[in-house]
Amino acid sequence: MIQVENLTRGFAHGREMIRALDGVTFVVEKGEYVTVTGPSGSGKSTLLMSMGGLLHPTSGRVVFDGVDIYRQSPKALALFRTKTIGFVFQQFHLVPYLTAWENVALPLMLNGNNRGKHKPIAVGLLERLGLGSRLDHKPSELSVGQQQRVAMARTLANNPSVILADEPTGSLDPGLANDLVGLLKDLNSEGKTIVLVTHSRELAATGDRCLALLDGKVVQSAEGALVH
Amino acid sequence: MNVIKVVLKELTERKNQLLTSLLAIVMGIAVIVAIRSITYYSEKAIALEMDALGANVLILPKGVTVDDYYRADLTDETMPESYVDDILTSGLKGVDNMSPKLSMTAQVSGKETIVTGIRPKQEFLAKPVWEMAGNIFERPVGCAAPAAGTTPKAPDAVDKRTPIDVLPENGVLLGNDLAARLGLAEGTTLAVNSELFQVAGVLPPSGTVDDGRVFAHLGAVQRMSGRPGRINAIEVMGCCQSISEGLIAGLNRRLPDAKVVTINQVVSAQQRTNKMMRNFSLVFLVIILMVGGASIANYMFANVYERRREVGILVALGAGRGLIQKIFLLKALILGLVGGVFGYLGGGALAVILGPRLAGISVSPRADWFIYSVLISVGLSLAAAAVPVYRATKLDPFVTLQEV
Repeated sequence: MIQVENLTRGFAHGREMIRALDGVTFVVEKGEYVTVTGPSGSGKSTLLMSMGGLLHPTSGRVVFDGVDIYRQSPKALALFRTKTIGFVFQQFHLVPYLTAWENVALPLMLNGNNRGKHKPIAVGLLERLGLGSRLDHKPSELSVGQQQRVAMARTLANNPSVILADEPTGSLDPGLANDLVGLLKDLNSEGKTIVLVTHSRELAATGDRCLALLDGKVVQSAEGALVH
Repeated sequence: MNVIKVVLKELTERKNQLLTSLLAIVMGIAVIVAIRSITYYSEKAIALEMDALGANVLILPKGVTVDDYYRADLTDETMPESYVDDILTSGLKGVDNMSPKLSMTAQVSGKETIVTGIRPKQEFLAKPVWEMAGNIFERPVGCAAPAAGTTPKAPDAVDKRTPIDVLPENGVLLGNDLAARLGLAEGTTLAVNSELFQVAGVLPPSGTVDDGRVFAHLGAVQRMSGRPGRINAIEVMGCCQSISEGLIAGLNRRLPDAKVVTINQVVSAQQRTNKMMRNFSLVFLVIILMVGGASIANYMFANVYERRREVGILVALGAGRGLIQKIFLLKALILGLVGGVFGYLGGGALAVILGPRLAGISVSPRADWFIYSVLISVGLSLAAAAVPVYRATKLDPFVTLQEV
């Protein structure tokens, strides 16, 4: 269970302090598929990064299974990200000089897995996502859809229990976007908790529950699609 | 997958950038190695030249002054010839050559002349000006190592110094002025206190009192003067470094009944020159280190900036600051190692090519500089990378992932 309690995050802009998140509170149950929507600048990405242990809040807490993640040591927080969280980014963020399988193996290396197992695990994931013939291709040699699947394989490498997806379909055409949503639903049905940030109403409606953010505050929460 | 593989992949991803940054390091190290090698051999060559200034330490009987020695070379006071052996067996470091001598006044072809008894071989070593007489007076080296490529002239190279080494018991060497004044040449005969000697050679002009004297075997002069086993001076060629490190004190301890004095101008000139060479070398080293360090730091800053997105990705995937630090330091280490190896090879080649052209000396690469090159290169790379690496660990993944 992820508890977001009174989460506030400010950014200094000159002398002005801009509140990207302003007292956000909600709970994500284990195995739930929650979407977060809102206009640009509403604080969606800031919320996601904060939930994933990448952005220390100005105040408030993110509690995962009873542990306030930001009260841990930097090393424990890094380990939390490695073992528990899987990020999916709109830009994919693949490492350009590594091949498809090497990109997937990166989280395995960080997790301290046996080196001999890196390639078999990475190859298995890529084959599952239909990229068995693109193992040694670099990102620049892959199509956009293939890059997104490599990024998904990398997200799944350490079998995280929580997937945090930031506008994952933003760079994909509708067909590829549907494939990705299908994959996320499959993963959710396998028991993974999913928090997906999007400004798309359609995509937001795919979750079990949807939160709407505006100016850093949760303004609406509803099961299924939001009432706009 | 491991960190080294990731780093190597990143380094070889942009080969042009890698080659450019490597070239900067290689050139920096090559210049250091080349300059250090050339100055090293220059120092040696200059030290050798300094040695050519001749004896720099005098050992005299207690009551004799340096002025007495230079004025006439003649005093009633003497000391045992065995002092020479005492010094030789003392283990004192830095004594290159000793030239014991005993002088007396004698009638030479009817004129009062100074006759100095010498050990021909050692006297020759102490008289650089005699070298000008060509093949007769080939001079061996002193304490300074010869420049690379030159063959040390062995003191026992008899074939080149025959007239000196085989100076017969009844043979003498004549000072240039005296020979001209008396009209004597090599092979002629002259009488010293009614004892007949054959002129084995005429010395080149030296501009000193030596030009007006006769040089005979030490034993012959001791016999003629009735002072067997006695001498009145030992001219010592000492390494100037050893002189400043306690050679004089050691000689004084060993010979309490003698007076040990340094010829200050000679020693100070030697020390001044050596110091100047060392400082010259140091200045270059510091400049190159600063330029090389700035170049590496510049590369590392640029690299951290270019790779900030990857830093963000790694952190998002669970990398801690330690790993980010390790990746960039490893990169600096690899650049330093490669730069050190190729810098040494390039610098060695540069020194070998430029040494004879720029400094007129022959230079050969010094193997021990390989270790120094690699250590300097790696040290410099790591030091120059310190700040960029620190900045890499401070990158905010939220910002780097959002901005690119």
